[in-house]
Amino acid sequence: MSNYIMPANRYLPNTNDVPYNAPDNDIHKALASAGLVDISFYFCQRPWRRLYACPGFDDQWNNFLPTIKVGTGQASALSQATDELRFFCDGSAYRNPADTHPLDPLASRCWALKTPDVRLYGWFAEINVFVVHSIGNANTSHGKRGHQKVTSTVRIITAYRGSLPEAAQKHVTGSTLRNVFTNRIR
Amino acid sequence: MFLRIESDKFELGYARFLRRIKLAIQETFEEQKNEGVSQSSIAAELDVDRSVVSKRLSGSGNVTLRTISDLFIAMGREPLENFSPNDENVNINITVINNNNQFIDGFRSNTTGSYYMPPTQRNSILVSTSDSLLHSFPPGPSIISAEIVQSCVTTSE
Repeated sequence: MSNYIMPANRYLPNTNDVPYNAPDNDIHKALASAGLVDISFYFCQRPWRRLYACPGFDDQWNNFLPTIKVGTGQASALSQATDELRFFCDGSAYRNPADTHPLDPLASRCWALKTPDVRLYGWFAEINVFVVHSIGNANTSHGKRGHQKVTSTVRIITAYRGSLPEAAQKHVTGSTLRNVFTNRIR
Repeated sequence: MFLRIESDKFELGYARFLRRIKLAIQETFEEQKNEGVSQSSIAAELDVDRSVVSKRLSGSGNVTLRTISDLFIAMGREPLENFSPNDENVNINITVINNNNQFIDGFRSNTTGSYYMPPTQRNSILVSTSDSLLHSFPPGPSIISAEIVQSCVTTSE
């Protein structure tokens, strides 16, 4: 077995232990009551940034992600995504100016975390708090057909976000990295 | 919710290795931009399309030692000059006094904790252990006070 299954709350610490980078209590409550799950602790025991997953994301992660075909010499899709989210959560990714490529602000205030072969689509509920909605294959997101696919994904995400209770619909409206990360160098 | 996480140390190690190479490539490219290097000039040097260079700079596409080496040389540098082998995890314990409930580089309100410090951050924090936090973190819009009252560094993993 090259991988294992871990419940989301396995590393949930006592809230007294990690008060420093917890998301705003209101947005945390709003997202949790809307059925979204804080999955930051899957990837990092002391997350600097937080990740929430929409219902059904685990199905895509467990069943669709491993089927994504990767380029020659690239790590497996599962490794790419695991690695990406680990460095996202611990705060070291997207900090340097040279790091600009992996994150694209998409239309409708949706964003994509990018690895060479995987796209993780979602939105920022607040600064440092990313809600991951769906997974895409980077290799089919180029060209006219790819553009249509991404557009359709964005439409689905926007519709889903719009269907959430009002408090959980809150999201970052800026489109620069400074709008979504507090530890950006510039 | 259950997620199947990659835990194979070789698979994860390889993904991390590629990430660091990608970062070294991107940092080199940023530095060499000042010397007049551009995606077009690299494409001309390598005799490939500019879109290929764009892909390689972002770590996408087919990756081989040859493509990595060629990219560095086309940028006028030796391969992996920027590659740091000592990228260990470092945690720092600090206490932040922030009376204004504003975010200071990720910290909200009065907080104490330990967090992972990326290598690029370390110097700025370590030199400021007995100084005001405002000197080491970018100041927020309306911070009243912020200081590190305790600081120590531990290594983990």
